[in-house]
Amino acid sequence: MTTKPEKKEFNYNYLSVIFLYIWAGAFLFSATSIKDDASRMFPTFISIAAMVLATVLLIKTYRSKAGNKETMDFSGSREAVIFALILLLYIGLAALVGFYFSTPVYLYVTMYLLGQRNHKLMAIVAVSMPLIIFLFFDLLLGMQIPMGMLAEWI
Amino acid sequence: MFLEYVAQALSFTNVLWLTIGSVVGAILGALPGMSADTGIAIFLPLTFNLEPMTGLITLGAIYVTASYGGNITAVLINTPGTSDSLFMTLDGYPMTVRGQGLQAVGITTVSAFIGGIIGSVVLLFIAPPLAQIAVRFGPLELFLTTMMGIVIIVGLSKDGMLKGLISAMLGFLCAEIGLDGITGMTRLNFGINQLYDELPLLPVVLGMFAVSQVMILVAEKRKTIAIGEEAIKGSAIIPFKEQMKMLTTNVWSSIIGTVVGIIPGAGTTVAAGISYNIAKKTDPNPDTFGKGNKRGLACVSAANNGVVGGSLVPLLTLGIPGNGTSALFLGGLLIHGLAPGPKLFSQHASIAYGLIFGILAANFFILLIGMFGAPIYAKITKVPNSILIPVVGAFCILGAYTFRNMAFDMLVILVFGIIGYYMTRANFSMAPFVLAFVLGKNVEIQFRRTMQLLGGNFAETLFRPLPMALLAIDLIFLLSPFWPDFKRWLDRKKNAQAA
Repeated sequence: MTTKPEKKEFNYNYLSVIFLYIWAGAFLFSATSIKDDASRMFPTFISIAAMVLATVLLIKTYRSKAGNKETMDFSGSREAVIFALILLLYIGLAALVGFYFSTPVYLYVTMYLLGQRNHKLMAIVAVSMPLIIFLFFDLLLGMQIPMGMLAEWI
Repeated sequence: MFLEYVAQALSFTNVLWLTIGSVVGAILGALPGMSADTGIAIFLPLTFNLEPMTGLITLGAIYVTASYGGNITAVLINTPGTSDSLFMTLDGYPMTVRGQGLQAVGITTVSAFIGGIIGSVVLLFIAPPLAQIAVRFGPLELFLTTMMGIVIIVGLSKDGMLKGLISAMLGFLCAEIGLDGITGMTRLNFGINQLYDELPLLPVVLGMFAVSQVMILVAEKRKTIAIGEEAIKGSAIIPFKEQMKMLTTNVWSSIIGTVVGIIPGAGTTVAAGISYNIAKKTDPNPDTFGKGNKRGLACVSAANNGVVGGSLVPLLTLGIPGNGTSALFLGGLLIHGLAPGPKLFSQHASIAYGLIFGILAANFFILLIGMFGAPIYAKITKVPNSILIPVVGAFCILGAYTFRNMAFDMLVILVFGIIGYYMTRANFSMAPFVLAFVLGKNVEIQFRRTMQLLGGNFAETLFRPLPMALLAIDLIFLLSPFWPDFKRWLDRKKNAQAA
């Protein structure tokens, strides 16, 4: 009977190195368009230093023995990414219809997706938070709350 | 004469506005997205109609309690309300997870109080002579001082120093975006107009710490922040004996905070870093730092609030803001027709000393807020995550917007939230990134000025007592994490030779 080969765990340091090369590379490329030498020096130096350190990380990761591998926990990242997407939609909605209309929707939906099923409590939170923001930050302190593009068109 | 100033400072109107400022400051400091800067900026126009002393006392109270308020959320939900409180999360949050959230709030309250009192007393008695020392800091000294903060934080992550250095490099790169501090030309903005000036500080810091933390909470799928049913045990009132044990730590950390606050550009992060490092090295159990060490929490809190008084020393005596928040204070002085400098203490002595006594009094509000408000704040950890996460998320997004009233900043906070999440999961420390980001532009400006000076006169610029002392301190902090390993290597060599 043959045994299945053990699944090799992905070492996220390789992914990190790729991100680092892209990040530092973008800055290095952008720095080449800076005309002033003194102004170009620091970002160029830092970009190169970052890429050198990324290379050191790559070599260190490649040479690390099985027993000494770093543990990285990415479990639950799917849910975290979904939450980030919800935040993105919330930002888009806030930019469109304003904070006061988008926030109750965002709060209710997110609470539901996170497992909250007490609809009364959800409704209270969804309504009271924008109200508190309005009373305290807008009315009392005069802070500017995003009203959205629709409000500007109207 | 002092009694006269005290009586004026503690009039009914001033006490009323002191109370309002203190409460508002603590709330704003605790909310992710708000800060002392936000509070002072909001209240500046509100103080137009107030007497100068009343207006300045209000702003001072906000400054004091906002610096403290950020500690509460940092300790209880690992979400620093302000970038000043990021060191709080190292030992404060682990205490909360152990069910000692109230104790942690109590420790940070007493330490912040002591730090604030010492900073205020220094401001009161030693302002002019101390400011003379800061005037001697040239570009090289300022460069070495600001590098100190970064070197310290990288050195703290000894087991992951490579990743700490990488994190710091990325923070430096982000700090370079926008206007060049010397030429005033825009660079590295990738064609994005909203990055013409700079990458906005508050959305970046909030994203890295608050939004990423919220994402981690989502990923962990825990029902509440604290582990276990009895998350909050004990009391916020710390026993006298325990307070005495930490008194020495609190006092020297407060002094460090005050002295660092005086140096323009250094700020709370450098002060907190220095005092944390010293506390760790002098502790009999240094390995417990980062895992809920009470001294680790106390020293940072004391240093943070010591900076408040210190940062106002160069502002009130020389007109040089010690940090960004005290720069807003400058606006407050100018609005009321007051010019900072020696004349402030001679021609408007009652206002200058009234402000200082007001700041001294505001520190007592820290005790009230901490002791009576702590159980209320601590209950935050029992709120279900399904409610806390969306609410904190919304506050963060709103906070990002209110910084510059730009919808673009809401995207910035999300992007850096994702980056912060990945960095945390991939074992990259975020503290070096944020520190390098906050200090990066200043480091570059001082570095380039230093290069100009060195090009002119290398020996005279570099080989002076103060720069050499600062350089030595930087090297010590950078190399000290390797000292035990070096000692072990020396011992092995000795033993091998003996054999």
